[in-house]
Amino acid sequence: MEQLLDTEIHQEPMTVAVVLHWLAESHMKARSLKDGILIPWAMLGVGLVATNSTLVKLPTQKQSFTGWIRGEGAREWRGYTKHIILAWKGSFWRAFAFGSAAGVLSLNNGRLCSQGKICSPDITSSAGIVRRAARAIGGTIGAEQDDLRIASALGLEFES
Amino acid sequence: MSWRIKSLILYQRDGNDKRVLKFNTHGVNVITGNSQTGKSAVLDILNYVLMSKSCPIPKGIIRQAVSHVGGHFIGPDSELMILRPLPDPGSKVSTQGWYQLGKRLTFPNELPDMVSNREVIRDVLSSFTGISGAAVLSNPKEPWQAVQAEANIRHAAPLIFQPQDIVANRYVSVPGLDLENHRRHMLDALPFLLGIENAEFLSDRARLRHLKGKIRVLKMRGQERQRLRANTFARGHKLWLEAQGVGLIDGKIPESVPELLVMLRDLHVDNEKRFNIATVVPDIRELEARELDTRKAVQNQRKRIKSLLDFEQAAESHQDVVARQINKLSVADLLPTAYAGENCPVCNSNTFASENHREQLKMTLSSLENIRAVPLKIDVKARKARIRLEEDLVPLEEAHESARAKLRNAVAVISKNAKWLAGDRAIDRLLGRVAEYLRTVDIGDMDDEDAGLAGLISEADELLKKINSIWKRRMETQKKIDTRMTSWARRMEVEFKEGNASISVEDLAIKVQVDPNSDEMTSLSEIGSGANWVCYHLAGILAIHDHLSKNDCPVPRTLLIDQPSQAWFPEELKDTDKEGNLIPRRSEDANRVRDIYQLLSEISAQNKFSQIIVMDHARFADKWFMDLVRYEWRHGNKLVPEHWIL
Repeated sequence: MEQLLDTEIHQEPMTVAVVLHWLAESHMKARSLKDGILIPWAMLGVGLVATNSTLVKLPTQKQSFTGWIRGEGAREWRGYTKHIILAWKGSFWRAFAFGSAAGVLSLNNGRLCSQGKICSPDITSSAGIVRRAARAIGGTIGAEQDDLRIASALGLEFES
Repeated sequence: MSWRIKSLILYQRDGNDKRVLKFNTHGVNVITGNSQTGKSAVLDILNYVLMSKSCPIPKGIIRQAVSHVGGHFIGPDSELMILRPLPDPGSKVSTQGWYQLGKRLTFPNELPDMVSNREVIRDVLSSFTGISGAAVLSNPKEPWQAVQAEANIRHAAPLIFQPQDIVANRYVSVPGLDLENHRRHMLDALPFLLGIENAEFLSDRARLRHLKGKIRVLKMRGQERQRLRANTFARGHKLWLEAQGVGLIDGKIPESVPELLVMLRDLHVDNEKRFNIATVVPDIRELEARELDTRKAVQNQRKRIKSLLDFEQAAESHQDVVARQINKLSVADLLPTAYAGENCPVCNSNTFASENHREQLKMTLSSLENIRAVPLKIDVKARKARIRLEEDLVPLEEAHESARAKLRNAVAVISKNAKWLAGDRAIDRLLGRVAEYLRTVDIGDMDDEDAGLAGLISEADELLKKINSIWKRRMETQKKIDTRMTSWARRMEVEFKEGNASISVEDLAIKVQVDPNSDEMTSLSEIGSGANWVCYHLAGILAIHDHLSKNDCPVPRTLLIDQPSQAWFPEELKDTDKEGNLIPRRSEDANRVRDIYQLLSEISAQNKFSQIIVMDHARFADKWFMDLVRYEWRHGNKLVPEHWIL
């Protein structure tokens, strides 16, 4: 499945667009002001669900971000978030273009927002597992107070 | 009452014949003859008829040809006839017998049934002799048991026999004296048999023996009590001294066990003082336990705080690591690279304005640029917990310090009272030992039994005095016998005829005064010459029989002497003429023997003197001698007739 997901996400921009939709949807749901998910966090989310080794360690439900980030599973890849984000940049933007064109994604104040509805896959299917993980990531990030704390937890500092 | 031998009888085995030897009841009866004609057997037959324990009759012709032997004894008032079967071939002795008491008895022609036994006939014989109911003897074989036996005919038997091996024996004067068991019994009965003591004296002597044993036991018990008393007093006195040393007791030193016991029982201890000391001392164990508990609580609290501190330290290190892990991410890097044509990927229209998105993104991310996020504080809870624990530690430390202070004070108090407490423990130990002493001392064990002992000693003294009164009688008897013996020994031309001779009434030892100028009496074993031994034996036994005859003693009035001439005519040197007369090597030897026979004849002629039966080779042609000869066994004449031996 790992190979399948990886290949699929790289080759099918719509697949990534769907993942992004789920991320943004759950993020917006967690935020009181329905803010969309910040672009680098969306890139990170795609990268996490695209590989099975990280997918299986992701939380299946929304939880405290600090608790999750301290977990052994998250700590493994914490030092590599920058590289993950950069690695999935191309796929993100290509998917965003397709998603945007399809009308399921949009950028609002620099944040990725979901639009419309997408049919949910069977919960036991591989797509269902991905959806569950993507929604958990989006919800977890969305539950944090602000992006600065998330950046701190992920060990990232932005520069112009 | 005593008796003499009238006749002896031998019954033929497997035949009806019998051989009767008749004797004069007074005077000398000589049986002369050659060797192996049965002379010595006469003595053995009489001994067997007198109920010897074993059969002294030698194995051989007599035992083969004779089935029964018997004796006919005549007392002053009655007669006794005894028959005893010889042991059957293969057996050692026969315990059966037959007897008849009465007057004018004759031996039965047909052998009667042997309906009686040795013990009964021995008692009858003893009674017939006048011994029964007299001497009480102890049995040395069973000294642990007061087995007592009456004197009987067997005790008197040695006095009437002088067999061939005894008459010239330098060591013993009568048969059986060399056997310890016989000797003891014989000598025990001798004073009675010699008339020195009577039944009452013997009973008293037995009683005295018993009393002496009892007195010895009581004295030993008394000594044991004295030792016990001394040990008890020594132990008690030591306790008294210790009690005095610790101030529990005062007063004069006790001098006896009862005094000691009274004083030790009244030992007084100041219980109030003991109580005060005991109550001043705090319960050190409880204080120690409390101090330990508080110390453990403080230690546990400190351990918990330490672990939290360690955690905080580790968290700080973690934050440092986190801080070092910050990666700088350029916003420009996040922007999309230019699309080819930048048209809609679905409809290829140019409505998709990526620039707008880029600007929005830049704007959004610019709020995050160059802002170092404060690292997440993950140790807040731990720190809060540590602070709370540190706050809780304060009262615990106070409690511990309080407990330590109390313990320190208690130790100081105990050290201060240590001397008193040690003294108190010493008193406790002493009181325990005194209690044990009082418990173990049994004053009853130390009661004197002197009253009983004094009574026994008094009775024993009286008996001893009574018994000692016979000492005089014994000395008189001894003197008379010695005088008579000396006189007759001189008549027999002994070597030391200047000196006195003596046969002891206590142990029948024959002694001779070798040097008339000295009082020393020499034992017969220390002087030489068989002739001397025979003469002194004969003189001694004749003197005793003289005493027996004159004092009506309970001993048979008969004396059997075998081979009195052996010292002058040893077996290997005997020469006889055709008639059997001895041919002496030296005429003086024949004269010595002749003198002996003349003396025997002379002595036995006295009215009451015992009959004397002599068995000898010697034969003198003198008329006086031939008158003494009752049987002459030569030329085929023997004790057992030739026709019995087939």
